[in-house]
Formats: sequence, structure tokens, C-alpha cells
Amino acid sequence: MIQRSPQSRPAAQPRPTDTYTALVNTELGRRIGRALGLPRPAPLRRHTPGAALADGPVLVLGETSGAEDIAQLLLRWGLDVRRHIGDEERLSGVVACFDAVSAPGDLQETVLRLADVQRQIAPSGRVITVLRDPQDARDPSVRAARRAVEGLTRSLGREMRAGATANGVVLQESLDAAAPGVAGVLRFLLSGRSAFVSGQFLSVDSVNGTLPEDWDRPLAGQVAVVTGAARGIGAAIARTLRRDGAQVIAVDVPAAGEALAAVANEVGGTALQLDITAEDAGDRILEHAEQRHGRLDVVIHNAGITRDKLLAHMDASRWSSVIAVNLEAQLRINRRLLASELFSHAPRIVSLASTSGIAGNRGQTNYAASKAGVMGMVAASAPELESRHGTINAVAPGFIETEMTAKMPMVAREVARRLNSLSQGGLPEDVAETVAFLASPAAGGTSGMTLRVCGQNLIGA
Amino acid sequence: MSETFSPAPVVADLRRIEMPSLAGLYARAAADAAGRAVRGSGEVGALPDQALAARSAGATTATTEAYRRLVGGEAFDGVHRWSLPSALVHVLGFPVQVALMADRRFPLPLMGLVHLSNAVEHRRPIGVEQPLQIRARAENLREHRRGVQVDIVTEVLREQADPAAPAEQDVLWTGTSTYLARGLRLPDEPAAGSSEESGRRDGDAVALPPRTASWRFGADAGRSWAAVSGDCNPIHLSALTAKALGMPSAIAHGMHAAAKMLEGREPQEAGHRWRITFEAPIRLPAQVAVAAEDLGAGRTRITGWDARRRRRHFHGELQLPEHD
Amino acid sequence: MHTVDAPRDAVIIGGNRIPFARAHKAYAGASTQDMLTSALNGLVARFALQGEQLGAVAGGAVLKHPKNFNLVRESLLGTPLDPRTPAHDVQMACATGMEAIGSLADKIRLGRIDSAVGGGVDSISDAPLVVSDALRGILMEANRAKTAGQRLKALARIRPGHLAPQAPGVDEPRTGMSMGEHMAVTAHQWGITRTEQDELALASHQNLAAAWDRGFFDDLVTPFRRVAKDDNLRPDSTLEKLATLSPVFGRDLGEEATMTAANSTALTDGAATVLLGSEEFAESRDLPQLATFVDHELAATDFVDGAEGLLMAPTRAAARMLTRHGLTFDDFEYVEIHEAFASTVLAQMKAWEDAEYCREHLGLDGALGRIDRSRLNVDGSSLAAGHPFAATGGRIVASLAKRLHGKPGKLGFISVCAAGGQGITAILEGR
Repeated sequence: MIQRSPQSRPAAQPRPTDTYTALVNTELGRRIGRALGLPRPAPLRRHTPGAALADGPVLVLGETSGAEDIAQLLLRWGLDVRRHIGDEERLSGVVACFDAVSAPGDLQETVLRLADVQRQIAPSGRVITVLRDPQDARDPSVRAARRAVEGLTRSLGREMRAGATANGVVLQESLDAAAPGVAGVLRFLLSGRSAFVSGQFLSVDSVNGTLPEDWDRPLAGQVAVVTGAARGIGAAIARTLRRDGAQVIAVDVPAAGEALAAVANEVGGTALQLDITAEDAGDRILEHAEQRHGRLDVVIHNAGITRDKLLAHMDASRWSSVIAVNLEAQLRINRRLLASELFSHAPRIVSLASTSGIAGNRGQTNYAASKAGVMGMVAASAPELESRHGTINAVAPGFIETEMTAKMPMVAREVARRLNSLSQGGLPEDVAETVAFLASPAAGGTSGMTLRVCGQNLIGA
Repeated sequence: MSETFSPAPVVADLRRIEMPSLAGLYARAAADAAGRAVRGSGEVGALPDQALAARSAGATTATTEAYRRLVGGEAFDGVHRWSLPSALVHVLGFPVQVALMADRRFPLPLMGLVHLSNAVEHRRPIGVEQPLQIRARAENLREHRRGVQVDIVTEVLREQADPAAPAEQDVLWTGTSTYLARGLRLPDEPAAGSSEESGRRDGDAVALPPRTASWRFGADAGRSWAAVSGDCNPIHLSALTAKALGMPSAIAHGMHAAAKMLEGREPQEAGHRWRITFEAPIRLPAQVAVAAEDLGAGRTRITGWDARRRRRHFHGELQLPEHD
Repeated sequence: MHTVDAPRDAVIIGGNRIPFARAHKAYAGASTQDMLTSALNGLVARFALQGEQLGAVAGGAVLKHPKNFNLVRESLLGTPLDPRTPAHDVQMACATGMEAIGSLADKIRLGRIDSAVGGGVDSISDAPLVVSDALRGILMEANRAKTAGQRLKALARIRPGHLAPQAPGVDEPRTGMSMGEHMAVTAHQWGITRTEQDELALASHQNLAAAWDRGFFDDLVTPFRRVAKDDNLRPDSTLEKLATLSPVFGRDLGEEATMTAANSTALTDGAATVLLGSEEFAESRDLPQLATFVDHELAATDFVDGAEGLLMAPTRAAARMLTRHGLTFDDFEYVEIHEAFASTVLAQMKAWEDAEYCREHLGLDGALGRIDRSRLNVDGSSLAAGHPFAATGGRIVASLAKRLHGKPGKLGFISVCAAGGQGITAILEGR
């Protein structure tokens, strides 16, 4: 029998090509760039199904129980785990465990060992620090030591070269490093899924979380709603969730229906034309999910609008429409969904925030308010979700190459692209990978937080 | 209309001719026109007694195809449609008619004759490429409100018929075409007649039935009919040639309208009769509103008019043969 | 409600159409195949039919280029449906969509197929132009010529007049009258007034506007070429504005002409599709079951010599269909009558109320009955939405099925007239 995949029209959005990155990665470009001291963005290692988690050895530093648990975990994943490394070897990753520090002086030994191997870190390699949550420490010395690890990690992120990143895993005080949530976070950070995540901290607060049978299909059998799925980041999220095994309900406003249908057909999902600000939007999502799939596991609040104006020129419609779409719709839909039986079995919600909501942005008082509001909503909703063994998180993208940013003035776009540790803009797929990770059962230990996908942007660092 | 077909009389003076060419007849008529035109007083002499007869090879398949392309209807496949439409039979006999009227002895000028009406008894079916004889004679010269009218009777006979005295069964088709010569008078007759054709002015506003069809005649309709009928009367061919004869524009051929009126309504087995009376001419190009009315007992009345001016172009009636 | 001898029900699962757009405007660059493909894509997306092998896809276009002989099949191949899904084209003028859907429903009821998509598409903007018969004759002769000389000789006969392209006929071939002219005669015979027609047109626009406003079409329409809404819709129209328009049909009736551009349907481009299946098909794929396609009936009138109105065939179809089921118009919760013209609907309704007409033409004992106007075309109709000929059936069936959803046992009636003196009526039952 002939196997033939269903025909579908290419639904890929036009993407602005980063010609600069392409140029400086030619031999001539490299020489010119070096001579002028220009930043040298590297092609990033990104996840593809079946790709190895790490090509080379992974060094686990620190003599803590956490380090031991983590080394065992990495061994079970079939990685080349080392506690020591030769001078010439290239490292795919370093996990530096600071989970037992109680005073600033406790950092030095592991830090210096890290210093010894820093130059051996391969392109797109990973440094992952492991620490206990500073907020959980009442003792000034303990908290100081823990916060010191944060500073160390962020600066290390800025020193990374060739697409390598540095991030931290923050363990809740009493949590064992063998908790499934820790495995989930570590795996995400080591993999190409976190390509554009650097200088960030992922907290694991509970023993919740389930590790998948197949790490390439962590969402197998699950049903996910993605709002704003017709184009850009939303479409990328739909594709990534589908790749990870989810059945996707692609939602967008009726006017975007043609592009929405193309995305739904591409991901083999269903298109649901819906204005999320409608009073009954939550009901219609539930009705659709119940009728068509009999379950609902994941909701991605991606739909959002901008109506930029300096505050002095702000009018009621610009303000209210942004707040209504970006924030109030999410609150209303979440209330409705969380009151339903259908969305009560380890439900996961991921909302799109923005670095504007963290750092602020000229002309975006309305947008930044809505996105900061989303972060507040996420943090406050975590306990309710946790009571259902679910999670709620936000993802704050930095400069992402989309149709929207393609319309920025050229110089502003170039500057915005380079203002991060990776010297390049991220792709919609980078945001989608983080969203998909936070939506996965393996991320069950992480809730209420906002994770930035910004290549460690200077803004709002 | 009467219930029986009129008899075909015995003709004492019959001249056999070769089937004439219409183009030649018209050319001669045009040349003659200047010479004889109207004779001084405008009075008309008597009709000649002589009838003409000619042999016809019948309608070719090329003609039936051309007819169908123009008028529509089903194909002449020899099985489902094999019988010639009445209008096409008229076309076969028309050159003999014209030869009669173009003869020097014929008292009315051919050029400028107005076709007033046509009454046809289509007694028996006539097949494609069926050889025939055509007999034409003139009769009933009489006054008309606007001049003098005459009937030209054309009889289409079986190949083996005696054209001077045809047997009843040899008469396939009889057509009476009535023509008007304007501005002429008969000697010994008062100026205004009161016969049926002269009672009402042409094309007056009339009560019109609900429209059931709309016919389009293009600017080239005259040329198209000429291609089917061979009738290259300049009054139909183009505005220019029509103007030369004093008409503001070319007009549709009356038999073209009759053909459209009859298309799809004539029985293959024939036995029907019909009549059409022409009123206001159809100036090309034209859109003609048409109504077909079922009068019962196999009778259909068809009326054509100018929808904008509400002037009637023609009215006609078809009587199907009685069944049982 | 079951029709006699039907082993199982045919269920309407849902529909999808593209917004209807006025001819030569928004969709001027789109082909009928583009439009039908898009409508199918939206349907596939709405019901996750990607890779699905359906029993049949049927539909058609009234204005169709010969190269599109396999229009539906070619459209299907541009969608994510399994390419092993068979398709066929249907042609019944404006009733194309209804006939496609109705006969697919029959196949499902008979158990021949389990699932199907029916619908149609039409584009005035993409209408095929043909060369004149004379030119065609010359070209064919040149094509058959054996030598260059013969070919040249044939081609030399081409005259400038031959080169004017001919638009496809919109007139009835046997009468030469346009549909509007025919309808003007019928409307005049039935004494349909200008005011009645304008009121019906206004109601169509108001009902359609209200349906759009309350999101009724959110799951019935997928945008196409940046058009998100039927662009013929004039929600702010008034009777006063409509009254100012001059008649465009039946002008030879003079003062008694009543049919204007506003109470006649505008030429429109669009495509519509409906997904049907057996109950088992719908259940096995967790698809909704909006309504049952209970029955449909075709009819035709003797219009050529004006014995009956060109667009009155649905009166006859309704009489047979309702008699068969022992129903009257009072049994229907909703009534959808396609407005080729406002006067079409009004004449049909008057005819059903007319005892003499029903006796003489429909073979009934008396009047078929009165239709409650509050149940007529409640979510807008062809006057406002437009009428891309073959797409109208799909629009009506999907909208009515959605209307009837959640009202088990409630009935909906459909009437669609068509060129050639034909018509279709249908019964839907809510689920």
C-alpha cells in the first residue's frame, strides 16, 4: 500500500531573514566582523525529534546529594556523564550544583572548577547551575549565598560564546533533586528546545509532574487549545504541540479564519473561529473540546494585540481593547475552564507575557500593563491549579523574528536583535518550545512563574 | 382557418423553368426598377395567368445545418428529426416566387414589395435532400389601404407530380405569400380598401399578452438568414443597402421570424397549417418580446412586439393536425 | 422522522462556506477551483478531516469552463482530504448544491456511503468566455486541415467580428428571456407589489446582519482573500432608500414594473460545502449532528410557452413532498426559500395559498397553506448574502441545520428554484 501524507498547502509564514547572521558566519564575514569587533551571532542548536540530548560529555560539578541524583539521572538518559574532564575534551554541558551552599564562601570551589572548563564548552553547549530557592532561606548568610549563585549564572550567560547558554534550576527548600519536575527542567535546558533561553531560572516547587514514556512525544494523547493560532508565534506553538503529540484546537478570531484553517489542517487539528473576548468564549471552547475530543489538557493563551501610543495620546478604545484581549479574556476563560469537570485533571495553562511587561516599553503602557497583569494572574492562579495537580505559567518572549517585528524600522530592528547574549533574534519556534515544555506533564513541578525566552536580553535583565 | 386543405387547381398556362438564382433575379429587378418603376398614372395592370414550375433538388444537409445553427432546435439526424421545417420549405420555393414576380409581365415592381403575411398548409412531411417540384402563381390582385396587394401561391409538389394538374396526394406544401406594392392603385377601384389586412394601421399600440420569450436579432441577422435562404434582398442585408431602398436600417426577414415562431412546434409528420401577419418591421439589431398563447384544440397564437414602443411586429397562429 | 424505506438517517454534521462577494470585486482574481478548495479546506479544518477518506464529494458550478470538467475532484486534491476520496460534478443550475447534497444524503441513507461533502461554487468573475460559433468552426477546420495551405485558407476566413468573445448564456435558451424577465411576468401575473418585495429585501438584510452580529456564522464561514463577511450585505438599508431605485426587470410593464436591483439577487462569487454522514460516522469521530436530512424533491414546470412560471417549480416539489409526509407548512419551525428575486418567494407563497392554483397545477384538493412570515429566512437569505448559483444550496442547508440543532424533532423547509424551470425542496429535522 502506498503511504501518502495528506496534502496541505505550505502554511509557513514569511520570515525576515537575518542576513547579518548569515553574513558573519561566512569566512570573509567572520574576518571582517572580528576586525570591526562586531557581535558574532552563532547558528543555534534547535530541537528536532530524535536528536541526541547532548553530543558530547556532560560534566556534573559539586559534591552534593543533588549532584549525585542528577548524575544518576543523566546516566539513565544514556549521556556521557563525567565528574572530571580532560583538558582537550569538548563539553556539551556542565551542571554545577550549588544546592548545599549555606555561606558565600561555599561557592568558590565549584566556581573555580567551572572556570577551568569554561573554554571547553562546545558551541550551543549548556551551563546549568542548580540552587535552592533564596526565598526559602531566612538566614541572611544562606540567602546571600543562594542569591550569589543567581548573579554568577546571569554573568556567565553573558560570557557564553557560540550559542552556548547558562541557566539555573531553582529547587524548593525541601525538594529532592530526584523529583520528576527537576528531570523535566534539566532535560529542557540541556536540549535544543531551550536554544533562545539564557540567563534564566526555572523553579521546581513540587513533586508534581510525570515523565513521558517517549521524550519526543511528551504530549501524546493530550488535547491542547491554542488561541491566536492563525499566524506567527501562535501557529508555531500549534505546530510544536502537534509535533509533541498533542491534538490541537486552533482558535482565532473569525476574520483570521482562512489562515487558521491552514494551520489547523497542517497540524491535523480543528479550527475554532472564536472571539476570545466574547462572554461565552470559555463555554464554546469547552463545548468544542468536549464534543470533539472528550478531554482538555492544555490551554495556551497566545492571542494578543498591540495598540501602541504614548500615554499622553492614549484613548479609551486603545486602552480597553488591549486590556480586554490580552488580560481580561484570559481571566474570564480561566475562571470558566477551571470551574469545569473537563479541565480538572492536571490542567496546564501557559500564557504569553512579554519582556515589555517586565521592563516596560515606550508607547506600550497599555500593552505592558496587560502583560504584567498576565504575570500577576499566573502567579496568583498557581495554587488553584496545583490543587488539581496542574500548572500555570507565563512565557515572556524577547525579540522574536515575526511578521510584526519585520515591520520595525531597520536600524531599530538590528539593534533589538543584537541586544542579547546570543546577538540574534529568536524564532517563533523558540517561544513555542518553551510553551510546549511548560505545557508538558514533565514540567508539573513548575508553576506560577514567568519564563523569559529572550536570549538574555539587556532590557529588563 | 378551414378544416380542409384548399385544392391545387389545374393550371392551363404553365412554364417550366430551371431553378433560378435569386442573386441574378434581384440584379435584374434592380436594373429594371429604374426603367419601369411606376407607370405614369401609378395604376396597375392585370396579373399574368401563367404559372411557373421548376425542379428542386431539395434541401441539402448543409442547409438544414445552417438553418439549425441560426434558428436552433434539434439536429436533422434522419431519425428523430427528418422532416423539413415549413420555413425552410418556403426557402426552397422562394426563387420560383421571385422569378414570377421579376417577370416583365408581373404588374408590380419586385424591389420595394412589402411582405404582409404568409399562410401555409404543410400537408405532408418533406425530407432532407428529397427532390421536389415547385409551382408558383399569382392571384387575387386587390386594393390595400396603402397600395395594391397580391397573393403568390407556391405549391411544393412531389418529384413525380404533374405540375400542371397535381393529384391531391402530390401536393406536399402550399404557401400563400401576400405582398404589398405601396402607393399603387388598381384601375376602377376606390382608393381605400376594407379587406382584412387593411383594417388596422400597422404596429399600433395593442393589448399584449404576458411575455413568454425574448428573441434577439443581431445586426447581422439579415445576412445570417440570407446565408440559410439564399435570399440576398438588400433590404435585409445591411443598413447601407437598406437605406438605398429607403429604409432607415436593415430589417429582419419575415420568414426568419416565422421560422423562430415555428421552431420546436411543428410536428414531424406535418399536416399542420399556420399563418403569420407582419406588422411593424423588425429593425436590426432588435430585441423582440414574444408571447405564445395556447388557445386550445391544438391552436397556438404567437405574438411578437417591440417591448419599448409596445408596437406589434407580427402575430401568427399555428394549428396542429387533429389527432384520433 | 424517517422516510419510508430508508434504512438509516443521513445526518448533517456541519458546513463551511467562504463569504459571498459581489461579482468582479474581491474575488476577481480567484478561480472557481480556488474558491471551492478554500471552502473545503475550511470544512476539513473545522471537523479535523485531514487524511480522511470520505465516501464521496459532490458539487458543481453553473458557470464552468470545460477545462474544469472535474472541478470538484480537482478541488478535493488541493485539500488535506485523503486523495482516494472520489468526487463528481453535478449540474442543476441554481439547484446544483441542493441536488448534490440531497442525492448524497440518499446514498448515505441507503448505506452506500458513510460520509460525504456536498456543495457548490460559482464565480461570475471567473466565468468562461467562448469564441463565436463562426470562429470556432474556422478554428476546428484549420485544426483538421492536412496542409499548411488548407490551414491558411481556413484561417484567412477569420473576420474581426468573429473575435468578440461571448459570455456564457444567462438567458433561458428556449425563450431567450433572462430569468429576471421571466420572473417579472410571473410577479405581474400574481400581482406581487413593489412594496412587498422591498420589505422582503429589507428583512433579508436585517436578518443577515443580525446573524453576523451575534456570531451565527463563526462556525459556518471561513474568510477568503481578506473577505471575512458577505460583502453584499447592506445592514443600514431602509425602505425609503429601496423605494428610490428604478425597475431593472419587466420594464415593458411600464408603471407596473416592480423588480429593482435591490429586490433581485446581485451577481455574486462564492463557494459553500456541507458535511454529511451516517450517525455511526458522526459518533465514531465525535462529530456534531446538527440535523437530519429527511427528504428532498425535484420538480419542473412547463414554462416554455408561459403555461407556468419559470421559477415556480418548487411549488410543485413542495406539494408532492409535503403530501408524501402528511405535513403542512404549520409543521415547520423554519422556512428557507431561496430568493432569486424577492418576487419569487412572494409568488411561491401566494401560489401555495391559492386554492385554484394548487388544484390546477399541483393536483391538490385545495390550498397547500400559508407560511408564517416570522419563520421565513430568519438568518438572512440570498437577497442580502448574494447568490453564487451552485453555492446557495450549501449555504442554506448548513445555516438551517445549525438553526435546528438542539431542537430535536423540529422541522425546517427549504425551497430553491433553478433555471430551466426546475426546483428542489427539502426537509431537515433538528437533532
